[in-house]
Amino acid sequence: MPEIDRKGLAESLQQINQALADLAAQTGRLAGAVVNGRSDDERVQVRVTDGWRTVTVRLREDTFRSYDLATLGDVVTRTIRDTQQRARAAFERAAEQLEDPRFDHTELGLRRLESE
Amino acid sequence: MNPTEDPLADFFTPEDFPPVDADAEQEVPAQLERLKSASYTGRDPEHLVSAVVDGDGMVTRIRFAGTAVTRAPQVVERAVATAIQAAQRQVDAAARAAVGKAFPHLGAAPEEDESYGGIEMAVGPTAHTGDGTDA
Repeated sequence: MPEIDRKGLAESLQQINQALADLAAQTGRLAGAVVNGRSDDERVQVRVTDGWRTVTVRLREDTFRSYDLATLGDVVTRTIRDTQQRARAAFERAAEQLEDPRFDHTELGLRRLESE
Repeated sequence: MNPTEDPLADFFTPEDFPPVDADAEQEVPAQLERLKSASYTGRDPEHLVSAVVDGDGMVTRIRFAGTAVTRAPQVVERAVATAIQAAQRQVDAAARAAVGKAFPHLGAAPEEDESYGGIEMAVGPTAHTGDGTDA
């Protein structure tokens, strides 16, 4: 079994760790984006951030007088979900653009190591 | 080689590679896939709102209890957010539990239940509140 270049491997791993940390920071910035949505009548307003995870809802004062509870549930659900879907699509599109040549470099190196 | 001189010593310790339950490991992808297709229900402490989310944390249903109309909109708004967060925590807990079965060192113990006594997980494509009632 060939001797592993432990120093080279350690350097590659160090690069991966740094690239992962940078990627996490970039992803965190993307997740900070805010996406807003509203129902057609604007009684329900929604704000989504943390990717698509954190949801804030605003209900106009007359909301309960305007809808029965079942309908309000449907309207809120639809408004939240539509906004989440847009937020998620935007987040995933932006995340796909995050490329780091250090991953390619280290992946090649590790593949070489694996083949030896 | 003296371990202290090993350039890899900064990256790996024996604790990084505990024994793995091979059978459980094989089941992890399928389990995670099942979790993704499940529904998770959360409620606010006052049970004004129930929220159902899918395995990605996307809201699939919000329901208001009859008592919601007696509260200020601002209270109900917060209840919606709280119910969604409670449901999403169920997703996280289920994923941690699935991974933790095979990799105990990666899957932390489930968090202290902050379910306000009203969260259930419904495995299957159809969401439900578990007790058959509205929020």
